[in-house]
Amino acid sequence: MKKIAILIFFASLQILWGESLSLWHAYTGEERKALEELAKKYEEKNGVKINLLAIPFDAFDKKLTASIPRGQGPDVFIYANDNIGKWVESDFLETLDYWMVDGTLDQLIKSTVLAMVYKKNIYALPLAFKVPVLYYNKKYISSVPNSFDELIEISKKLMGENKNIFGFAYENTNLFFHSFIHFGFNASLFDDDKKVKIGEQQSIDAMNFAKKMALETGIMPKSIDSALITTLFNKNELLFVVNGPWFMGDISKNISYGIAPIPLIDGNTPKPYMSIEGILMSKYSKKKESAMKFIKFIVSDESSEFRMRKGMQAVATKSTYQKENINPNFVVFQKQAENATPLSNNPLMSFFWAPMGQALKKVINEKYDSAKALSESKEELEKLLEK
Amino acid sequence: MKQLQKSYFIILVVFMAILQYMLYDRTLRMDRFEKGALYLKTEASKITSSIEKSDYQSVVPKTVEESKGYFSEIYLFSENQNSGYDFLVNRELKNHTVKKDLSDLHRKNLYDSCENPQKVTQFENIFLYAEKTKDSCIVFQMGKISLGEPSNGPLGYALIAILLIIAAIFVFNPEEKKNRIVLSIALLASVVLSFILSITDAKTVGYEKISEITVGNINKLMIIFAVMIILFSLFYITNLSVRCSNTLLKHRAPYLYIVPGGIGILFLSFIPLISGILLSFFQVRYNSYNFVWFDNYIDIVIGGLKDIANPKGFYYTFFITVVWTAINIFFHVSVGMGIALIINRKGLKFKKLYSIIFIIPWAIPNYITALIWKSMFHEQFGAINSALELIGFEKISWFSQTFTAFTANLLTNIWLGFPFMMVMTLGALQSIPEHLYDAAVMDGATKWQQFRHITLPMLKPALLPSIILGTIWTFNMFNVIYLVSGGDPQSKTDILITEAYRWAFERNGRYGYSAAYATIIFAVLFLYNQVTTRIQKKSEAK
Repeated sequence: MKKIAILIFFASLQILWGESLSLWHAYTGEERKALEELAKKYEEKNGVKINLLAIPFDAFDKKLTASIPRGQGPDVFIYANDNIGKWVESDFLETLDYWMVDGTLDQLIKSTVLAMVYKKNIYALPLAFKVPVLYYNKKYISSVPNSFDELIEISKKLMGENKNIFGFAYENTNLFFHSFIHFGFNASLFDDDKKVKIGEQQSIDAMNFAKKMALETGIMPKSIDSALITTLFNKNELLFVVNGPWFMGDISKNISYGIAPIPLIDGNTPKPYMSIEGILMSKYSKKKESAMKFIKFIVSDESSEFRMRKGMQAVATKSTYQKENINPNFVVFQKQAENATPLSNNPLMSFFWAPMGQALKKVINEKYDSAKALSESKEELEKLLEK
Repeated sequence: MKQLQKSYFIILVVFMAILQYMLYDRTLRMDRFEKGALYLKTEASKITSSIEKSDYQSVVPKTVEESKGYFSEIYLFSENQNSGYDFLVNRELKNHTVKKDLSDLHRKNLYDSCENPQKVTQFENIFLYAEKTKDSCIVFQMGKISLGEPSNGPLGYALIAILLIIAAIFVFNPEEKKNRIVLSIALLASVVLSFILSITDAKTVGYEKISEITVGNINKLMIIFAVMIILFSLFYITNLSVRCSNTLLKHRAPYLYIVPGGIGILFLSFIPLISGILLSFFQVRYNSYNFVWFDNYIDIVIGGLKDIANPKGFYYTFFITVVWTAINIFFHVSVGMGIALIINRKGLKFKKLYSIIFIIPWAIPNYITALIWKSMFHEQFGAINSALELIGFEKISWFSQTFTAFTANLLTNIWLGFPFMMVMTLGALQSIPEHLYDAAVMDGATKWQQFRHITLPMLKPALLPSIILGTIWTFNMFNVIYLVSGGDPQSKTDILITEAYRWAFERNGRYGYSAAYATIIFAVLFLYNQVTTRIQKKSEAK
């Protein structure tokens, strides 16, 4: 009993006097374990305790917005790049320019660094990128299709043999997953003058393609959400899926699957959204130098390799991909990343998710005309942007 | 004894005044330091990074020439803000020797890139001093209990004033007229003082440049506060307050016991409510707040008139909400009462088992139930469509038409809601005396007549409050709508509360607009509650 009391006493002393940093993240599973181990390593090496706090992805922005301006936020936090613009405008983020004079940026993949730049200042260092790829069930599929026409053909053939299976699925009413078609057709969402561009012919073509896939080919299930995709794939009832790297964690162990870059769409290269996770520093942190030290530690070559091997992350550090014995899946992710659209960090972006999702729902669930659905969404967006 | 009380009071007032001053002084100074230092640091970092030859030319300016633009900005900034910063430098730096421990590289770059090195050292000093003083000020952050960052003072001061009033009531005897007048004047003065302090506070911090909140906005806010404070003072001077304080004095002990609960309610429901209402007067963009008077309300209520059938407008949603509530309550009561009557039959075996089974829908967390129902409504794999197919109907795409989506929501919520009414009815049924029925049977009444003339009237007093409660719950039944139909198709099945949520969290953070929605919901329910309790009282009087 006494021993425990003494232990608690010293532990509390450690908390009171030991130097510490608070870090918020939205990681789960292996990624979280890897981050926790890295934090421990850092503590052993530098004597700085890293207090980790895992926050659900959906609640992250709200919690951050509520706590940072009141001085209760973290020193550093890890999140996708798409909120950077909004957070800069809200005055939450410290620019990292000041510390970047030692060439840290040169070790990182350039496209991922540029995704962290807002109004000429850099606000985060990229840790890893997440990009959707094509998953296929090896029980049925031996060779990967090169185009969607091929994919449809294979699916139809196999579905004819086995009534219980579906050919292809992706979350088709969600802009994030629709993006590989949308940007594949060279459509855009908005231009530099904040003009809404979703009513143009390219985006109509993209939506027509999504409509065709969902309604005419007959190879896709209806009312798709992520739970449905996981269930079907794990029951061996789904051949192809377009989904992000997080899907690997959902696939059960007795399913043998492979991944490949997304096949061509009517001759166009698909360009799915790539979300890039970065480590950011709060403007309200009182330990900025110490925080920067940790940030540099976590993007270093050594930690990046650890994150890739243990945390299964497609890391943004260049040198890691030249290491021996890395999982071949990462090469696929890197290949897909070459043809990907980084999520925009412009605050304008956050306006688009709901109206685009709405348009997709109209077209796919209610069989609307694509052009009409898009023009309605465009109108709504323009109204929103005016206010 | 009286003497003692008075000296207590004086000590209290002095203490409060000191606290108020410290709050005022510290928060004010802190903000100036913090903001100024951060601004300067950002500017300095721009210079540093621009000088370094970097691979990322789009990130930073290429040459020293280009970076001079940034420096002139700092220079201009310091010129414009002379009053603030000179005051700082002159007053504070005299008393403190600040160690200059910035990295050599940083300083060298700063020196190299500017024409006036002395100015830079001054910036560094301010920056360092600010860094150091930050920690010592934590104790005094109490003044930051407020509407948010920009106007640190007002609510903190108002809180102190209220505390002061409560304390004074306990110490002084307000039954004497003289005391009452003195007390009123003192308190009024204190309130006015804190109000003036808040204004000066907001003004001198000089937010105009750094964050987007202008002093003008804060002044507008002050007007509202002033009105609130004057109303409060009037309340105090009038008789009402005397009566209040009399009971307070008479029943000191019970009021003391209530205090912990009262504080809980104050912080958990009263302050959020007030700040929600205040927020509805603002237009929020990112983290900046613009005071727009009643624009949000006007936009919702009058702007909504332009397009009544718009599913994202107020009137359509309101209509859906009312229909939703009415149908739900009808089914909750009829299903609940029906099952209760069946279970309550004399001689029925396993009564307890039945009532437990029927309570299960209520006992399971409603979002779990909602998600299960949603998957049961799935077009291809859902249990309901499979059942329909077995009977020979066609599969229904539940969430692509308004009517079916609404029905799906409705079925889910009826499942969730009837157990409550059932439990209420069962309780009330057991309190109806048996002899009434015996007498009715003797008189030759039929079962229906017994129900119509004995059961229903006896149930009424127990059922009415639960119906009111049920209405309020159903009116704000966020989980079912959000999780089952999610507003599909095209927001046509959204009710007011989910619509309010979407304005705040799905349509780019229009918190002010959303708060206005929430306030309107509150007003509607408040009105409903008033009306129904009146009706209830009248019917009881009969």
